Amino acid sequence: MGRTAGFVTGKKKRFACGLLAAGVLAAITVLMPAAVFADETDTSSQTEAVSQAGGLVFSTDYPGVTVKPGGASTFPLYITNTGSKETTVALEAEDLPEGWEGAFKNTSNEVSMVHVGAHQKKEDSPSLSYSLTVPEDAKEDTYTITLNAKGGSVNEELKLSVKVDAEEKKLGVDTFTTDYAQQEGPAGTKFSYTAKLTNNSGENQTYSMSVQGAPEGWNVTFTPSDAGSATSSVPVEAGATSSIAVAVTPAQNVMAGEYPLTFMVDCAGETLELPVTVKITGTYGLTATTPNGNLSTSTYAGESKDVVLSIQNTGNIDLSNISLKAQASTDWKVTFDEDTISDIPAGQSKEVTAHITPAKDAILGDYAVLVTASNEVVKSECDLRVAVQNHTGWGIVAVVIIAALVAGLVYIIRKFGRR
Amino acid sequence: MVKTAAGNAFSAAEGHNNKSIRYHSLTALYQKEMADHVTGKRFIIILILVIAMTIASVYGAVTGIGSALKDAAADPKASFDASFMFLKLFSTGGSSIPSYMSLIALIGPFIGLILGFDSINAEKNSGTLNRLVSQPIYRDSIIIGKFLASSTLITVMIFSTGIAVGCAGFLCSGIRPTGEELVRLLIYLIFTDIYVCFWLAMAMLFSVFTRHATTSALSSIALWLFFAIFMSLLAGIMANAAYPVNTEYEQAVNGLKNYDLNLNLNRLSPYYLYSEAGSVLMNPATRAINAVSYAQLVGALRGYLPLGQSLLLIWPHLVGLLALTFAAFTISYVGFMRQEIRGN
Repeated sequence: MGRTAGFVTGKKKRFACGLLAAGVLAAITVLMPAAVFADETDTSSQTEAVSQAGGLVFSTDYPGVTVKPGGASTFPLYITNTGSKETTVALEAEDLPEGWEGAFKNTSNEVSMVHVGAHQKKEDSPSLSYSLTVPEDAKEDTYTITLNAKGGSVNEELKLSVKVDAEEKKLGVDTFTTDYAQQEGPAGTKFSYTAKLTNNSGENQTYSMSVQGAPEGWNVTFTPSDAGSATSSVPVEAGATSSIAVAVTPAQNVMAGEYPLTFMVDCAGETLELPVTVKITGTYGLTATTPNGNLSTSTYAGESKDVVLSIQNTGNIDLSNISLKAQASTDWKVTFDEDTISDIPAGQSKEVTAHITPAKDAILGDYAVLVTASNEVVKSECDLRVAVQNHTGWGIVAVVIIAALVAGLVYIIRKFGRR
Repeated sequence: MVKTAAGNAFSAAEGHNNKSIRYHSLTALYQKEMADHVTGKRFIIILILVIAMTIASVYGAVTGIGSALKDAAADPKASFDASFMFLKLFSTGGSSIPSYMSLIALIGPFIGLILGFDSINAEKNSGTLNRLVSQPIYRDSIIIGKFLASSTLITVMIFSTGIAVGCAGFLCSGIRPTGEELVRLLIYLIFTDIYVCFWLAMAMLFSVFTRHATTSALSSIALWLFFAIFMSLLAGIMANAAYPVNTEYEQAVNGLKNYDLNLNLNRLSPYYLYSEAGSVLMNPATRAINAVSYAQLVGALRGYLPLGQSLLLIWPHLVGLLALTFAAFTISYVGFMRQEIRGN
């Protein structure tokens, strides 16, 4: 017990020592520049200090904005320094009307002081902004708010002119456009549109996206350029433009034709429409096969065999006047129930019976019969394998003859055997 | 005196138990014939012949298949048909050694000839037949017993060689038989058996109708040579005489008829009949045995005939060979039964 206690006390002591040392170090680090700075201010005049601190400029891109009552506006702030001295300035807002709220912010925190490096250019300026919230009851007027950056001899100010206007929103109209509104391709194509959604409202907004007029089985997805996958809503910052990839996948069995679609974005009751057209070009497709896919059959020389063929229209255009032809060995006869199929609608199939009669002198074994279904635009071939067989009856004849031979032998043995 | 006694005993037995005596005498003669064959010097000659044939054909097949495989591997365009490889052990020969099938078609008849050429006339000349017929047995038991004993021996020989070639080929090459191949081989061996038995029956026929063993041996060998070698020449000469094909015009007009006549004349030879049937059985890719026109081949696909279809293709061969064998045996049987032996 005693030993443990002693160990703990020892550890505490060491910890305290470490803390003390760290504190001293920190104090030195913090105080040293301040001391130097103090020396400088002491020795130089006010004007000199300004010039020495360099042309410290405190600016924003749009010092004058219009905000509606209850709205908000954010001013990105830049501090540049042409001088060769680093400095630290305190930030402060003046003349903020009653009820208005304003705050200096970096990306995450509220900020009260900012460090300015030597020769700091605009693009080196730390992320700093002033966000302003106008109360609902603010009167329509133009207000001037002064932002101060003070530090030692530096006193830069930036005047913001904020006009409160209830009709503000109407001034900026959001837009939703695309460069190529009409696209075409055969069935099976995946169409992609690049739509540009611009938020002109002066506020960050989230838009929900949808499509109207897509036939059943179609798939439309919206993927903002900065999003990894499809989504149904996109946030757009005030004044920014978001590029949205819209992918349109037509149904598998889509027919040829023009399909008007409307992409819609919706935000706070306001709806933007973007009409586009998808044109599915026609593809011809024809497949000749059998209903069960079995392409082999067997028959006897000179004897007809029926084979049911399935002629399928695999395209998206109706086919008409499909003629059936067969190519077979010499003296073979191949006829069809219908030589010409008048019409097969897109995606459907017709069954036709082929009557295959091998030649009388066809040798045993497999033959190829090529069935061709075609009209003037499309053609499909189907290779049938027809095995020509001998009748098993001949085998029975052989057995009968052998039996007769044996019987003859037995008869002769019976007749002559009794000697 | 003895003869009469035997005759009495014979007729007495006939009254009581005709069937059993007939069967008994046949069994006794069969066993005696078998024992004679197996212990005779002739059997050793046949054995050497068969063993030499087996070894030669296995060697030929293995080297032949090996070189064919090598050629196929060296030349990507050359296709090697790897189906029914086991049957190729029987149908493939080496560069100088014929295949098992052609060897047995040529030498197989010898087994039958050696076993049968003196079966009757030698016994007749040495007088043993005379003693035999004086025993209380049916006379036809003698010739039936002889034929059955010899054909049993032939069957044993044929199946032994066939199975030996298959096993040795399997050991040398690792080619495993499939079920269909085994059935085809079995039918082929039965066919071979019938073929050799035909020659046995021919030899016995000569031995019944000739007085000396030398005569019957020479005449049966002459017949064998004729069918094995001269028949094809003769068929060619006759076909050319009937349908000359000397000019291009004659070739166009008579070509098919010439070929058909040649083929049909050849088929009179048991040797040709057997070879043709064997090639259909052992090579399932054979689809036709008659002349095939280009017209018939249009659209024909490479493939194999099922076993049943192969059999349907060669059933006339089987029936013909069987009929020839039966005919030869029946003639010698009738001749033997009608011969006067005791007066000799």
